Amino acid sequence: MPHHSGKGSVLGSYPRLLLCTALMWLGLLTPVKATIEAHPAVFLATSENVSLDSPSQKELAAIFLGQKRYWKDGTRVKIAILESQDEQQKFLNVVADRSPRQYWAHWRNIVFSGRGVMPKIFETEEELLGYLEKEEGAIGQIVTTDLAESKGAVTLTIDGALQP
Amino acid sequence: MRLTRKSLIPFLALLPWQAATGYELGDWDIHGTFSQGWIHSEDNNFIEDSKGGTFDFREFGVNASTLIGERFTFGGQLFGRKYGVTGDDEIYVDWLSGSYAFSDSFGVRAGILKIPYGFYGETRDIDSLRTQILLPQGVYAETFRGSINSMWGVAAFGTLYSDSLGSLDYSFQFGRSNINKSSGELNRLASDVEVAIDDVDERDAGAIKLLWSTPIAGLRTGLTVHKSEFTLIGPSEGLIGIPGTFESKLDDQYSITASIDYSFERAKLTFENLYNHNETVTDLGIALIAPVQTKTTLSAHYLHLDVYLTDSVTLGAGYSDFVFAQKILSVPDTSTSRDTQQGYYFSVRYDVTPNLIAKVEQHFSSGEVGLFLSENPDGLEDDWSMTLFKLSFVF
Repeated sequence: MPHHSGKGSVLGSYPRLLLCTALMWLGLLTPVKATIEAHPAVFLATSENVSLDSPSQKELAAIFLGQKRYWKDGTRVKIAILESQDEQQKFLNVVADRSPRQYWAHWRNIVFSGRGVMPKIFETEEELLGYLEKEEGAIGQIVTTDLAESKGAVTLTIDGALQP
Repeated sequence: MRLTRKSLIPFLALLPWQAATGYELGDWDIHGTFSQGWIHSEDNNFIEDSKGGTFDFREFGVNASTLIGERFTFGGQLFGRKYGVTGDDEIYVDWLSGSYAFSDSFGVRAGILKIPYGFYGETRDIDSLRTQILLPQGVYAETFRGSINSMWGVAAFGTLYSDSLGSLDYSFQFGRSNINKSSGELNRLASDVEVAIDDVDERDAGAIKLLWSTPIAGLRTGLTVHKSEFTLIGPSEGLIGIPGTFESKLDDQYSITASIDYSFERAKLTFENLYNHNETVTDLGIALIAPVQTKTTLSAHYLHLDVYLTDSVTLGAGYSDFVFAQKILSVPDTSTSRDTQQGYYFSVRYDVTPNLIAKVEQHFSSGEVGLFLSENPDGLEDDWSMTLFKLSFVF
């Protein structure tokens, strides 16, 4: 076992330490556009068996972040998300208070430690709605409410504040 | 169960790396990661040959999970890594488990389970899930990584959710320790000079995890307690130069980690504190030499700040401090030896695409604990620094 006191200073590399510290403060002070908008228009559709009327944002966050995994009737929550980055940006900011990067990082934490299975991604709304029709307990992001209604999916808004 | 790396890498090459959130193979959900790093240290070798710069710093893994009916989930993960002289790219089963959920608030899981500790213990292998390249040493000491990675056992888990109180994730697990015997880390656990280990007797392991996402937006706090006890068996020659077999039994081992983080605007502040305790009895297998009993503690904490400059650029900075103390209990009136390390680090993370992440990091450290004389034969310097680069794929 080496014996040492650890008394030395880390300031021996002072110029680089100073540069790194300056960059950190620069990062904190630089203004950037806020990524979270207040309740932009986003819509949800669910499978027919799901009973969820005007859910609160907190309730939706618990669902989309995998904290609430079962519906009242005992079916498993199955999350469906559109592949479009633009649509994900709008939708995930509202329902999960996360950017797409933060949202998928959250799910990777769960998946890579063996605690769950990632939400499903769909290229088109038709495919997503087809999944909602076929599976029980599914909830997903939609952008065209008419299409969702024509497919028989139940369309939801958040807190009743968002009207189709 | 162990495979060769050659059997996994072609499989990884077949997977669509462009799939940001994984790949479906029938009913199976497939995810994976590969990261390659470079470490250049000054004044001390942090890992073998890092003073000249080394690429012996990488991790790779693939996992598959499937849902069976409404309640049952089954999955597993293969993993391999190279970290200086440890790992050697050998592939091992990182976790392999089945779980049955009765409800959101209660489920059971059995198999090879990850041992939870702190915010990052279960996912420290996955570089893309954090800003830093190296997690703060002390709380996440590399030396102990292979001994607290996973355990055989059963767990009760669940999430208690309330609109007004937030959510509480819990897990209670117990069973037997699961030590990766081929990783080379055990040679370093026995001493900070390397000794050969022939066998490991795996004994009790357990963990408790409580993670509370409070009703205050962005504030999380957690407590994890874990233990993983085992006995190392090997030739005495490497320790005392006399032929024989030594047994080093790790007893009364436990770690407690308290964690808190707060996300605000475009930043996150994290603080974690670890206390680790163990008592080791080392019997050199020689009649004339009595077993040596030592008590070892590790106290560590760190403070880390993430600044999300844009959606693809994150800056990180932190201060880490830890004290490693050891006392020989079997010899009366011996004093406690203490080794310390303090350090600052600064990281830049750039998400080139949702699958590809590049990072650069600079460390300024003081203190020698965690460094190895076997890799620094000319002696250790108290002040040292290092620069790291890492490129990671994740899908």
